[in-house]
Amino acid sequence: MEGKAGNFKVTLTQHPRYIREDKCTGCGICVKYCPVEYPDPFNQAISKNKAVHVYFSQAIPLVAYIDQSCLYLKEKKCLVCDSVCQADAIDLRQREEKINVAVGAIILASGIKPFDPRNHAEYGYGKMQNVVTSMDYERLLSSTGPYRGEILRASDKKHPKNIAWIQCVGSRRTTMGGNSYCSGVCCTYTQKQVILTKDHAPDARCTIFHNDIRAFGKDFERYFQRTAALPGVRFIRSYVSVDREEPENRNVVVRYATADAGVKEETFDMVVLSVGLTPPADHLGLAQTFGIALSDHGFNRADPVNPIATSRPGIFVSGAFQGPTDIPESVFSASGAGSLCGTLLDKRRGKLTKERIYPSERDVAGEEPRIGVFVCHCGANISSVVNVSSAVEYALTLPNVVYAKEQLFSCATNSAQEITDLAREKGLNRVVIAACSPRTLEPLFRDTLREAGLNQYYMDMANIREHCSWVHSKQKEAATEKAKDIIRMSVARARRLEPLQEFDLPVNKAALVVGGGIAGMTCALSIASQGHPVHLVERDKELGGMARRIPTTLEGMDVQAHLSDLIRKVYQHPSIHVLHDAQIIDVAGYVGNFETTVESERGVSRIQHGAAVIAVGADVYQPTEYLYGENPQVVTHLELGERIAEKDETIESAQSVVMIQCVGCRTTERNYCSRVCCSHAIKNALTLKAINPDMNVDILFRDMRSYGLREDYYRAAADKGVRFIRWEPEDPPKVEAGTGEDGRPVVKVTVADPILGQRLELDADILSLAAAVIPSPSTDAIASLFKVTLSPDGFFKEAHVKLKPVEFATDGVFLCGTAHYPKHIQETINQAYGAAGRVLTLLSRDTVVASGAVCAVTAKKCMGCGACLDVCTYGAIEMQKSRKGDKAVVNPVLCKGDGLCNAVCPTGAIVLQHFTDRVMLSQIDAVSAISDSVLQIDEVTACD
Amino acid sequence: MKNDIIPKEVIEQFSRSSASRHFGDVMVVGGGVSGIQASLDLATAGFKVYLVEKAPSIGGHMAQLDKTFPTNDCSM
Amino acid sequence: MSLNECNYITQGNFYALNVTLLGKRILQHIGLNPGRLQIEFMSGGDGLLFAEVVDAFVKQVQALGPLGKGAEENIGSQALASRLSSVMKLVPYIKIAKREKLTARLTNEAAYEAHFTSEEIDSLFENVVSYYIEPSACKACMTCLRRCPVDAIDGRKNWIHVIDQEKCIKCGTCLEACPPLFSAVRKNF
Repeated sequence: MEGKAGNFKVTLTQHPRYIREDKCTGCGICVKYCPVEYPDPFNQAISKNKAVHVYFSQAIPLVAYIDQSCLYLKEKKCLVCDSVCQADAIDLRQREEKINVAVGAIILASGIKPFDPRNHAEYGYGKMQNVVTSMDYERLLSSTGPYRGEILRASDKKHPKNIAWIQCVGSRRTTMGGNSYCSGVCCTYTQKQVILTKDHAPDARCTIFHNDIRAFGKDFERYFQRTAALPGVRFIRSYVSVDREEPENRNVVVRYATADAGVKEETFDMVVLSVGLTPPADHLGLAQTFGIALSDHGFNRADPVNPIATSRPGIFVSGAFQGPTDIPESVFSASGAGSLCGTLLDKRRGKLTKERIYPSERDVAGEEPRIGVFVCHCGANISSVVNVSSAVEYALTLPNVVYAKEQLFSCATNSAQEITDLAREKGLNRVVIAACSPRTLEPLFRDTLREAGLNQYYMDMANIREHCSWVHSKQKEAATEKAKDIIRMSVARARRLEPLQEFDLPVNKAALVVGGGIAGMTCALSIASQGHPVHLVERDKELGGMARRIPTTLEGMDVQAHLSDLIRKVYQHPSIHVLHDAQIIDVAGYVGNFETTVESERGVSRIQHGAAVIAVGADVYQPTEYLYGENPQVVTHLELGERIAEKDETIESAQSVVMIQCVGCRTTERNYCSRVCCSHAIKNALTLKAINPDMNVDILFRDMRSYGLREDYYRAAADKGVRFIRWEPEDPPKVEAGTGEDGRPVVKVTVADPILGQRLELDADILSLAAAVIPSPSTDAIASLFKVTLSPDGFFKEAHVKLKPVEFATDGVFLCGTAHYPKHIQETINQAYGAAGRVLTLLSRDTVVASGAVCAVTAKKCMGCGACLDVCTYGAIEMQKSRKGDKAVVNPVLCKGDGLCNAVCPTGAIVLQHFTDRVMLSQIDAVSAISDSVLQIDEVTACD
Repeated sequence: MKNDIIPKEVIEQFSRSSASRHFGDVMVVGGGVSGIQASLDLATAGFKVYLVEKAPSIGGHMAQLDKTFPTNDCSM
Repeated sequence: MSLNECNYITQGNFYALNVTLLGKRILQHIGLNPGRLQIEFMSGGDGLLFAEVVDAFVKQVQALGPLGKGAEENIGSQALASRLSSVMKLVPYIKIAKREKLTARLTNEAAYEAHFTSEEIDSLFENVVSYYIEPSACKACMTCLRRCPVDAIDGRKNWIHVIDQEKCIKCGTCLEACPPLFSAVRKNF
């Protein structure tokens, strides 16, 4: 690669696939006949696959590739695949190609490599057959895995009943070949594996050997409790050694320490090593090629104020290459990287992209239904259980079905094209796809219809996979009959489908950011730098939020300097308009077209905007325990940090500081972890030790959750003599005012030390409490104004915790910062850029499309009773006066199509289009044996 | 996973190369969940993206997972 | 399973529960076994639970036998058809009459049991209101006719309007619509 930001030239080497991609249908015949087997890398080399195969069953592109173990490539022999391939897709003469690409910016989303314990003899991996890594185990759990979803031991292919997980493999180690950081995800992924194991085998016994359970993320604490509550699950706090293998049965013997009974030995059927995350395979090569600096651990060397930037302008890093992290962070940092590229390349926006033009839609309203049915094999997912050909034959017997065909993978590009072509050729005006769940591929098949010039709502999917072949795999004949029933129902529905229009609405190009802290300001600047006006509304007189109270971060970032810089940039930016002392009075409108009324220092303003970002931050719990508020020597970590920065006398002269973690959270009242406090405590502890190395600093903890790269600071603190004392929730520390040996006033803290087996009494000059991070007091009001939801803990609830971490179910409203969940400043910055990136996907477009499957009112039938209005919490219905009385009217953009209004309406005036009573009843009639009673009732009530 | 699409060293004169040439806005290196999200966002926002992946398919490590925490949704 | 885990903030689960409870009482009123109607709440991840629940329900319904032929039912198909159709006609009226109760959010078993009582439903059916037009007061202005959501009023200019009781859903719109000066629409309790 060469060049600079805005103008990079990258040379790629494309390795040959030896398959003609446009010809291959992924049918799998070549795989069947290939004589060469080699360990399948996708299945962690546990099972074998052929030299020619599809990488995995949902691969994109879904075509085969030929591995280097191919006989022809090695010895110029064989070519069986070529002779059996019906599509002429094999091409073993392909060569490596060099491709030059000129781009303006680069994002390195290179991911991680799981730690490989093979070179660490102490784990026995690679020697003991029944020691596996967590990634191996993940493949064992998967239904596409080496044993089709059966968890089996490699040694004898039996189900293990007694399984142990060993945490921190490759992580939190300062020995050769290990990584000193914490990988952050292993505690929770192990819990996941335990829960899934219990699903597979309810009587399995699962033991997790750990040193701290780092359940610091959103909903993690509850997940941990859920796992611990399962029968037969034990969490044992101890590092372990994998001692030996029992020769007769290859069971694995593990040794561990207990608090009261010395070292114990236990035998397990299988041991799973919870391996950590290491930098991507060729991180050194990547760093060299792209000229970026790496940290000592081999991840991107982060700019403290921007974890997405690298040392080279124009090159960004997203995901776990930033440092070990989980999926939500990988997702929003990706959106963030997109936003930074957008800022850099704003002038080029839209120049190289093409608008997708669909053929014009044919009006088929006057035609008789001509239904085409396509039955998918889904590889073998469906066809191994359901007799697909007989389903096709059956479909042809149904009224109005004029064409039916089977396909291997209807979703494959060539098959979807085939559907489009046949729809035109045979004059189809309805299409039924008998395949998987609409949740997966409905948009794809609707698109397929649009390409054929048909309204996309003329498509129905008959789910013969999730609802049939996958759940009746042992009853092939019955499953085939059921598949036919499902197809019949779908055909009955298709007959009655109506064309629906989606709405193109204009998008107002401005954004509203609620909250002027680090999150709000970072997001506002990112959006504004891409050419959009931003209205930033702040509750207080000043910008800055909670960050004003935080002098530095654990990594040493000067927060106040960064804050000043941000504030200056915000005020100086011509497109950002700030309102202080602001309160939001009302929010009206919908995605692309909001109008928010704000009362502020400037009086009442009505702001029009297309998107809103909620960045209202969080608050600090005011403790009522441990003498806080009664004794001036008891403070919170936040206050301690402030006092240290002010060089407060009491700090400088303190002989002993005690910290108590988990104050006000991880309780029944607040059943979550505040995430930042352990690191916060360590930060203060390190600062105190720097002020006075002889100061006694004791941290009383339940689990030390210094996750990710913060682990190094935990170790540093311990090295400097900070003492860590663990307490159990059943026996919390006790605090009372007292006098020290030298007569000075102290706070006496008593705690039971599990290692020493005694109660300790600590005299503290300062007692600092890790007061919980709690939702901002404005949360409820903001939630109801913007019509967004809250999680059980009172923070905002995003649309999907993993895959949509910065948006809401309500379109057009986004989220970032501690309003989402407690987090560190670096994480907030990542997420703020992420929210900006998502906002740009909306604001950069001129229109937003609203779905057609929404409710509509037949005014004639409406009696104006208002029952529908009462139940619609999206505010999508309003009552309008007409000459014929009050009539309900639906705003299709706000309507989410949940249909409750439909259910409450006495006259049936309001219907949920695409799911009308008529359509649903026709499906029910199609499946039930129609008895006389039903026919008579139908006649009488004229249900059409 | 030996198929490599890894960017190589600088070639001396761009015009001398006989390789095919492409022009885009952003190159995303890595087709895991992060790379896919970045590509989708950028494309929706009006940029032409080249997504390069060394394996025969996109998906990364997340494709190897069965379910994801804490919702236990299918990883695929 | 709590009912407020719906992803749609409208929380339609509560309504679904209420309408099912009402449905059961109506089935009882007609003489059918309420065990033929059941509602369960579970998430998309509860596949195993779904299978168990459906299998159990199928057994239950099979044990009850065809509609009307169950142990304590003994209703012939003609009678059944006629009872069912008369209920169907009253559905709009029931929805209006029970509007508030149907949107209540119940929290425990005891509340479910007590929400709709059989006495209440019996009374609902016995005391159905009906609307009629007093011929002497009707001025054939066509206002009520135009407003009727189900086109249940026959008439034209200068022809006295008549409410077709078969079609009428007893919503009361006609009563509201009829100009107070005429007050031709009357309600029977």
